[in-house]
Amino acid sequence: MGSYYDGLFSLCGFEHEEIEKERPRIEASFEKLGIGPGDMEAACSRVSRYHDVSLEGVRKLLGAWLKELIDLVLAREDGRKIVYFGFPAILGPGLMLCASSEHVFVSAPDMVLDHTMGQIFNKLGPILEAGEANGLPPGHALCSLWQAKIGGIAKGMIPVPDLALASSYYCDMGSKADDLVTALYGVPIAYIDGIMDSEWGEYPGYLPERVHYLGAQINKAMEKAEKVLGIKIAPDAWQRSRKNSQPFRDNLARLTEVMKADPVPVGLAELELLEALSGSSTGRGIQEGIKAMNILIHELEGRVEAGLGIMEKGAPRIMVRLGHTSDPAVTRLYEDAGLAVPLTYILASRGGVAVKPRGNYGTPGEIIAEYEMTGGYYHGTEAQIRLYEKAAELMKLDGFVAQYLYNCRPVATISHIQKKYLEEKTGLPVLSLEIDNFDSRAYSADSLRTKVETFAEMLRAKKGR
Amino acid sequence: MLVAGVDVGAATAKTVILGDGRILGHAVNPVGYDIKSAADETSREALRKAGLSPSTKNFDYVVSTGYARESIEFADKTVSEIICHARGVHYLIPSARFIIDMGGQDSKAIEIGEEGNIVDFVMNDKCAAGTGRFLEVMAHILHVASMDAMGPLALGSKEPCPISSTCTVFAETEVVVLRARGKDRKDLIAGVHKAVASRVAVMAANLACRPVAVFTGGVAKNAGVKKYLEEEFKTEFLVPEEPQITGALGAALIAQAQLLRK
Amino acid sequence: MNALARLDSHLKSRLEDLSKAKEHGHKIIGYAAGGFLPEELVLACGAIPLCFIQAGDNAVLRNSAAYVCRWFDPFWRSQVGYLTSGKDPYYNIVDLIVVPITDNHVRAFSNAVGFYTPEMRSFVFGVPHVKDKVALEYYRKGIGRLRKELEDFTGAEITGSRLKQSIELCNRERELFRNISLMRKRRNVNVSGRDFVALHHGSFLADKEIMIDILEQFIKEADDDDPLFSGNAPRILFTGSTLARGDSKVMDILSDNGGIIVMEEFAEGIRPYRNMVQVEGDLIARLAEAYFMDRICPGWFRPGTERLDFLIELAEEYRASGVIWYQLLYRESYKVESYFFPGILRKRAGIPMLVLESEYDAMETGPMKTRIETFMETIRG
Repeated sequence: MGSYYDGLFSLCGFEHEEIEKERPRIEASFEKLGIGPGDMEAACSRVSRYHDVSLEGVRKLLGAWLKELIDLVLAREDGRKIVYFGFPAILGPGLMLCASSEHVFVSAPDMVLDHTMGQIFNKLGPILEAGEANGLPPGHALCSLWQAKIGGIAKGMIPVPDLALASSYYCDMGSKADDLVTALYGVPIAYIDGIMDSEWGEYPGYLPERVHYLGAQINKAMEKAEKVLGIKIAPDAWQRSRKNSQPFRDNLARLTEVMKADPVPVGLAELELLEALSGSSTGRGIQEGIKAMNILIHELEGRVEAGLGIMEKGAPRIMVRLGHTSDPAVTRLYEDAGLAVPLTYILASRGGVAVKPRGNYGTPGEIIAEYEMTGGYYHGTEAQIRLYEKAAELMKLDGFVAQYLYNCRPVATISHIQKKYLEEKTGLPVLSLEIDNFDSRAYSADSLRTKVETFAEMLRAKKGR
Repeated sequence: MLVAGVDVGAATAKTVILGDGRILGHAVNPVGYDIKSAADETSREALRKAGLSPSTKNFDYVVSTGYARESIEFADKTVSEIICHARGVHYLIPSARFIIDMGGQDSKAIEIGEEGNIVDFVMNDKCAAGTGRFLEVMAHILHVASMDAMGPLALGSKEPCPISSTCTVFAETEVVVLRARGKDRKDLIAGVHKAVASRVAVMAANLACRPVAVFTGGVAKNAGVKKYLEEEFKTEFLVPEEPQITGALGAALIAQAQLLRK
Repeated sequence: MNALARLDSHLKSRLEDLSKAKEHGHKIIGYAAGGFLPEELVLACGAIPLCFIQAGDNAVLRNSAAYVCRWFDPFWRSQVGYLTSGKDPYYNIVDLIVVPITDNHVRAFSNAVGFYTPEMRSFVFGVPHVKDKVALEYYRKGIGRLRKELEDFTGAEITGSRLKQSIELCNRERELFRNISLMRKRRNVNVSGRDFVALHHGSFLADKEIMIDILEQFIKEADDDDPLFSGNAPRILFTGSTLARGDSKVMDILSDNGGIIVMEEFAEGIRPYRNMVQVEGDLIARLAEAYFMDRICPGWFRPGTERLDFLIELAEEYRASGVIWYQLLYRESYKVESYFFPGILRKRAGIPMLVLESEYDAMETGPMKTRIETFMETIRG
């Protein structure tokens, strides 16, 4: 006997047996999330409209997000110890916790809600509003990821965690919002502090003590997690977690290769599903994500070999920071305007473009810290801009859409500098685009369209097309 | 060959009709709630003015632009208004290299090349402080009949009253307070104009303002804003005879090019 | 001339004095606000410290929009505005800019210094956001690097004895500020918040020895004077991220309404004066302990509880009848805390809190006045 949601789940890559097996969990989680038969038609048409569901890998990726959602919503009922972290995540600690105990569930719930309740069901608005009503009001450029997280908890959709791993190495908002979660729900916090004090002109160099500091804070957070969760981190947890997630990293490098093709074989919305998953899940989502990615890359290699792509050959190629986590209409904006997007900052920093870590460090914390440093997140504004610069040649770019997230201070520091810098260094046109990549209520596709279309026309004219 | 450019913005709808490369007629109308009928009506009016039968079916090709460009059913193609403004200004003033366009809800600064191509541009984000809307709000509280009528009044001021608020809503309060304090009306009006010009100048600070500079859009009819823009940018701004229709004109020129390409 | 008039006249000629000092080979070291730069290091190499503390002018803020987006704290955007204007006398007179980086607002400013004024020599070091041994070590290394930078730049060695001397000088200044603040515990207060803040702001620009003299005179005068306020006026604890020189509207409205500020707690705009620096042993380590470890850190600290607990302590010690929490728009740490702190304050200290927010806009004064008036009424009951 099928049910009302079978169509959607098979569109999202679930096999028939999987749906059968998952049925009680789907129903229990949908009840908490307030999803019912009335939501299915819109969800199915949204998924088909915005995602390249002709690719099995994409369907499976959507499925991986749904599985992560179900596990998140039911984590308390499953009797697991729940740990939330912020985005952008330092994933290593979460992976280590997972590798040490199967009873621990570690996730970035805001990203999960964005990709499912937002991208698939278009029901993120009320969750964000609940976040606004619980300490993160509108009009103050506060982070919409945090509004989703606190809103989700306030609405009883996702459980109150046992521990918050605060990604305060990068963002002031995250650690303070964790303080809010403590004030509201009494959740203990393990702060992962870092210091972004690189000087302009320092990249690719960096002070070793900066890596040492973040590393020590990660190690300290792990000790706190052991205490709070009542677990012992296995001596080989680091090696095992590295091994488990290695295929993902390898695949990101492979993906960068595939994206060098003209025409580009896949769209930004698909890249986004994948990149975001790599920074949001440590459990079933990431494991399923790895499988989906294998299928997807294989399919994309096939497209490249056959000379197929989603855009015309010769379409102007741009790099953006990232796609939209909750509204694929915004993500699709660039391709709708005729621009190919072979690379994002996330892919560049996690994949083939970042400088190689020197590997001078021994503890897991420091190894993770150095990875964050060389990826640019922990280094700062200059390192991030230099990754764009480096990508210009590598991906044969024609321009940049230099997004800055208005409500994300660590990213907004880049706002005006990136345009000036990239224009001077690469000679390529740069569109400076103020955006909220997590919440499209104020920065909708419609409000951004004129700028993106004009820029696309500029690039086409320059290319003589 | 009969082509049209239709530009539907926040405040007005504009249509320009070209026949064999010549401007045959144009019309500008306010937009009410019904955008489609405003576009339709304006286009028919332009046809009437051109002495042609008033049916949009007569057009061989139509390009629509402006924020409501997607809703114009009789358009064959949509193009963003920044491109259209550049094209329209280049046609009227081939030596133009820099454009400030100020409309009802948007303001744009555009750097253009020798061919009328766009070199760089900026457009306001979520803020009405440098737009026509700001002036309209101010005209209302200063009891001036219209935004355009404020311009000449501003020119009479020797000492514009500084308006410091960055936000339209706050600035409104600020002007109310200053009015209550008995500030001279023309100084207040001049202050309002100066504030608009300075917002746009900051927005465009990173573009190269090279002569010939051109000022377009509904606000360009306002002599006060023009004066203060010239002070801010330290250059003279030319204003086309019909500054509101450059976008529609550009759209019509693109329509013509499309048809020739076919 | 009374103490404040003396300070005023000293500050009026200060830029001229600084130009002369420059001619005599003294370097002027400008630094970003926040209280994490030990001025002792600057003084010990014969240079002159100057803290960038000016803000509140809306025109400067508006012009900064060409260099940084508007979603940062207006104080730090103002600093970008002054820096890039090329017209600010304080930014123009300094030879080196030092930025102790705390949160991302300060980082945005530090980026602007590095990117927009590459011709300007600058030095940055970071302040950790948690307190432990590793964090202390990081801060100590940071000021260690600063010491080396200052020595290289000025060509003067920072010897132990010179450093000790300058610590003693700064300790004296801190001690005087502390003494003045203790006078404000009295029932009949004879030091106004505006005067106390003016002294702090002055001290960021003034010559250290002249400043100490002025503070000594101020204490004497205040002691001799009749109380400024009767015992019944509502006593306010005034707190927030930043209280810039040039941003006095809250203090003005408050005093118009008969309120008295009995204590200020601000990270940027009030000099940390409660802890003295010890002068034994490794003096760089002593500076690190006093400036970082023993300091009550600002709202961006993780967790923020140390500061919030301290506010409750202050409220009790100074018998405050209400807290005015003055935050700048987009400074997210303070915004988030302002949501849950009033409940804690009410529960533990039994007093109410008023949250005010500013973007240095002239028109905020009206609504702010209404709020403050109402708040004062509630306090008076």
